[in-house]
Amino acid sequence: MEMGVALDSAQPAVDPPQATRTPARPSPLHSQATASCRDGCARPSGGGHAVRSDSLAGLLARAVAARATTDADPHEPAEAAEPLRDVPPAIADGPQISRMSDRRLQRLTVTEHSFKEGKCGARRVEWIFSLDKPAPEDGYIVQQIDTTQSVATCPTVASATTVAVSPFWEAWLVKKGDKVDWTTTRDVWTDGSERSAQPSTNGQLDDFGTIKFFAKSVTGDLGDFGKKSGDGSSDWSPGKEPQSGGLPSTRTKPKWWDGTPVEGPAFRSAKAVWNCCSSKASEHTNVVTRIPAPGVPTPPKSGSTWYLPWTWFD
Amino acid sequence: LTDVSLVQAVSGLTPWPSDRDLSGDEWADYVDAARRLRDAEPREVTRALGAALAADEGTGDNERRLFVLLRVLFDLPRSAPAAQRLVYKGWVNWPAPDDRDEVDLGWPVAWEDDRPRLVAAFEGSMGPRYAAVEEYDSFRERFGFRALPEPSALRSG
Repeated sequence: MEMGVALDSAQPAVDPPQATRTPARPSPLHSQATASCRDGCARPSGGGHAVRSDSLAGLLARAVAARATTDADPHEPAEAAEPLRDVPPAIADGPQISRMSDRRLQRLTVTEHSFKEGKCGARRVEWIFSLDKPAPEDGYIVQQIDTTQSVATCPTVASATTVAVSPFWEAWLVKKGDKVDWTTTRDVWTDGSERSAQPSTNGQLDDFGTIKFFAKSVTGDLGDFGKKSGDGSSDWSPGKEPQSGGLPSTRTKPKWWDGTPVEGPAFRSAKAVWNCCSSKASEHTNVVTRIPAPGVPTPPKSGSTWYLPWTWFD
Repeated sequence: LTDVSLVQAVSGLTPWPSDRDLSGDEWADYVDAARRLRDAEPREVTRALGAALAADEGTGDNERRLFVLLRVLFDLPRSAPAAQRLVYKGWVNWPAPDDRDEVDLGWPVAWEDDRPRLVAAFEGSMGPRYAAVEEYDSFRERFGFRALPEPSALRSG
């Protein structure tokens, strides 16, 4: 197998590579300072960026409001009327359980494998992505990563408005009959998100993943971990987005992404909100929230209420 | 059987720091470990690398140790076409190619007068686990071992 992946600098970049994959933050080993929202994180004018206001309180408020009014997901409106598939009657008949939540929970599961929390924005989360039933045919678990952030060097206060880095997509090949990809079998976990501490700063940073499973007959050949696609015209290749490591990845939105997946969407997120501006280390804060929350993936019992702390973009 | 002493040599290293360069003593430990890998059979090395990764237990420390260690062990070009850079871990601060579409294959380790130093800090990572075994095999196929200095030459005092 062709292992290792070449960074493809010729890809059609949406944004300058450094800006798109590296959060603005001061580097302790470089003399040049980065802006880190010193100027209040003004709305960028370049393409590929968006701005959203999502303080932790705001996100939670929106999540509560959303689950109080509807369980429908804006990512998948066309599926709302579909009948449940392969959902145990005991779950499907539960009086307060939405069909969308059931289907996600039963078919494409995200499980937290490990979590470590540090100081000043530091955290590391590992997740396992798995299908609850063997894949009916070869396919890909595909994840869209949306990173939003607002970071400022003290004493400047980070803007409550976060800047969204342009998204990228990455794929894990799941062979027919398998529930996970082969790297998960080898490594125990599938996907991770880790950020180091940023002393003398304050702000927030969220790595949000939307995960779906598509048949290979829909996606085409995207390649495999460390292996290029057999389709020379594919937008996908390991190294197209270096943050994906050896996974096939792309910064070009797949045309089938908004279509109907075999399974999903599911979500995972790691977000830190911190303030390390005080001269007293004991006053430093770092609040990390994760999706799914620990222990959440367990299917609900019949008749129980099943809520997930989902958040989504406006 | 895995050479436990090789795994222990790795786990004793200081992980790629987020806020400073490694000290002379810490670099000397890396050079010492690199010498042990250099002198071991490749099959033993790959087993040790795999065992070290498996022992990580959610910290990522061994990923960060092995990533730096392989850049001490191998003599990697400081400037090469970007297409020659192979990615085995999703560090969030991979540097972009320069104006000539070239990259430093040894990043984040630079060498001057036989002394290593970090040119970038650890900032975070995304995606799957570091494929250190695959990177070791790739480096071994494409590059030679570095002419390593004596560890004692790097130690302070």
